[in-house]
Amino acid sequence: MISVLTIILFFVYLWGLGFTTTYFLKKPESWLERFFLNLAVGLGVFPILAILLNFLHVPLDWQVFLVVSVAFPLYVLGKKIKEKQLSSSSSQWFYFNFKLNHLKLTKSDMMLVVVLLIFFFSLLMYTKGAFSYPYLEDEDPWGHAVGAKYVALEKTAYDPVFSHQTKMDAVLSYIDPYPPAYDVLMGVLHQTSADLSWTLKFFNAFLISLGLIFFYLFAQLFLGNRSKAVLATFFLAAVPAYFSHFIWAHSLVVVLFFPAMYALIMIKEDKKWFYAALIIVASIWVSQNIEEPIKLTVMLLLFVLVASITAKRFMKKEFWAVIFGVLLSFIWWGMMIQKYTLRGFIRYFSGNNIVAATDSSLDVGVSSSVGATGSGSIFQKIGGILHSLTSSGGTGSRAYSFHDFFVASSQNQINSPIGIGIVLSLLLLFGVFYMMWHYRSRLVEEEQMALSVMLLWLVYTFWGVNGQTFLVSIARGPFRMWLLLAIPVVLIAAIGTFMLIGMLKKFKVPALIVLAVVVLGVLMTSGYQKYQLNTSMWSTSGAYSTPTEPIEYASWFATIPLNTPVFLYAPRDKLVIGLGGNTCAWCEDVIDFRRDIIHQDIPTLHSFLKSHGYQYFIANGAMDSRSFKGIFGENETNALLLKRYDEIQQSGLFKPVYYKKDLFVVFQVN
Amino acid sequence: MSHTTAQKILLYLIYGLVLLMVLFSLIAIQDKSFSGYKKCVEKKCERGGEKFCQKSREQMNCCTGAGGKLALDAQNKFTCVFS
Repeated sequence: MISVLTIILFFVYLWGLGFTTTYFLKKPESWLERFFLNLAVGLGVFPILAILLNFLHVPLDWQVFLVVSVAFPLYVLGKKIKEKQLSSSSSQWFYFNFKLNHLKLTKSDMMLVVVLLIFFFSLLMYTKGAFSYPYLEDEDPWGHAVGAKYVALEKTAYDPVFSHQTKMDAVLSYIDPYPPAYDVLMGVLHQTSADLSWTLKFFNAFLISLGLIFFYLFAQLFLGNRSKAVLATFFLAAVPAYFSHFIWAHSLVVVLFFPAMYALIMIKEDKKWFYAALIIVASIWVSQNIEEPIKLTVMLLLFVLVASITAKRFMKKEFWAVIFGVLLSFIWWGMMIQKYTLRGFIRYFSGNNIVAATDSSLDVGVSSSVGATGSGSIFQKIGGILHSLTSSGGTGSRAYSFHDFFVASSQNQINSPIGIGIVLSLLLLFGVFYMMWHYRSRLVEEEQMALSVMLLWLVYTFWGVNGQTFLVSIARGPFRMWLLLAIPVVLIAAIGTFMLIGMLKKFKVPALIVLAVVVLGVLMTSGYQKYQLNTSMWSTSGAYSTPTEPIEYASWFATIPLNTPVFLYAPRDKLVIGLGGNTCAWCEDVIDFRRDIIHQDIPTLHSFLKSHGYQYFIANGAMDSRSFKGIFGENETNALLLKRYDEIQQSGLFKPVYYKKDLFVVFQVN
Repeated sequence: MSHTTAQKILLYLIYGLVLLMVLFSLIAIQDKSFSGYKKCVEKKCERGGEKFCQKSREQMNCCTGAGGKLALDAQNKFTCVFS
């Protein structure tokens, strides 16, 4: 269910935060660019602001964010009125800061209008795909649904503390120690948008598409050419490797890279951009679980390094903006290390997440996670940590062939699709070859700084993607590197296209024809495949037994009011939350009750559900049996489950209200 | 225009790394075979144990990475076939 109010609020939060942060900074002259720049910077402020508020135990409530966002813009407005900068004329009141003559569209604005068209098409593609099925895809989005619901209701981003907890993340996978900015953003939006599934699907697609505009703002500054930036933006929208509409924290963290780069580049023009850069880097570090922030920080530092070398002076401000940004994120990471200890923390990131363990087992765990023995030297331990940070594992990681890069396919991974496409690959190769051949030693001069940075980004991300293909891996989770590889690929391909246009001009081939051929070629060999993948029906959680089951569940959930309390017999609370119902997946009494649920007789079950306000109870033979066998064992489940079903039917405490043959039965809790 | 030492190093680094990527890519072509698949599975077994490397997902990743298609052999075990 669409929430226009929440879309407006989303703009208000971002614009307000961006306006506040950039008020004293040098900004573009164009009002349209300024507007989107405010959104980009605002998005870069939101995550670390949320973490700061959470740290100070300020409730993560939409009204708090609204007040923080609009406070300074309203102050500025009030000040302007007081200073009588605005006359009493009603028309001038309205135009505050956006005087009519400032709203004119210039030639450079027209480029942004083209980017807006790309944005709208991208949003249409992603939303068409995301809403083509009534459930959330795969597993991660269900986890984010629980996290967003938790933030929306509890208004905090720290895990609840359980008395018998033995594992981190028993319930909330994407909150604490996982940096929670993405779930906080979605949770705050969910507070004013009752339909959680819509909120996640729409705003995830919106973020990714908005990222294209942010990319353009960065690219036109970086390349110093708006036409090349528009073309690169089009390539980015078309390349399969850059984002599907999969719901995960990457949708936020990668998009933040663009305002971070914009701010770093702008430091040269106005030193005060240092603060904006620092804040956005901090936000990157609290938006995803270390892996992507490390990669993005390497890319930022490569820029600083190359810019320093080519300018023949150390870019101090830019360097410290990155370093202090990382340090600022310790508002979150420091708390996590304090809470879980450094050892527990390392173990979490190496996949062993037991909190309560003996010291000796911890020693073994830490040692194995860092690849060194407990008595090993500090160098061995550092080596082990580096090994862990560059591990080429990951669910979707594999060795890639030339075909994987060259030929884009609509049969692809849904979370991090792979492939560049034929025409884009050729433009990339041409761009790389031409840059190296044409500029040669001039590549390292200040005027060509961007080209050197792009080449180093390309090498880094290409090597990262090939963690399992090449002899040495340099980045963790190679398959998630495809997203980042797309960035230098499209920038170099855009440069390659303009070089091609320049070359063919000598043979009297009109630029427009070359451009048309390139655009059409990219659409046919990359864009079409991306569209196919992103508008097809995706599969969902492994908790369901058949493909029709999630559709049937969604159909029934659509018949009850949003956020109705529903209890599944199987411990799959995330399904209820992701389908628009409500259940307290993180409440200790619910968790404790589930721990021994099969041994609870039906009157006890009924009184528990009644006392916790649950209106419906769902029994699903296949799902319950599978889940209970995993918890209570096969014999226990076989002996008790059918007996419980009989008792439910005969007790008179539950009234069957919906039945789907061979799938599930919904009971009303009397 | 004369270049500083840092600029020269950067230049050699860029050209060197691009060449290294080409070299690595050429070496990787050798892994596009059944032996590449076996090597990949062995690596996974060493890193994650037998149970981990026998997972269909890991087998599939190794086989696709080697350019083949995952199949079951006569003993109902995973294998990688190449057309």
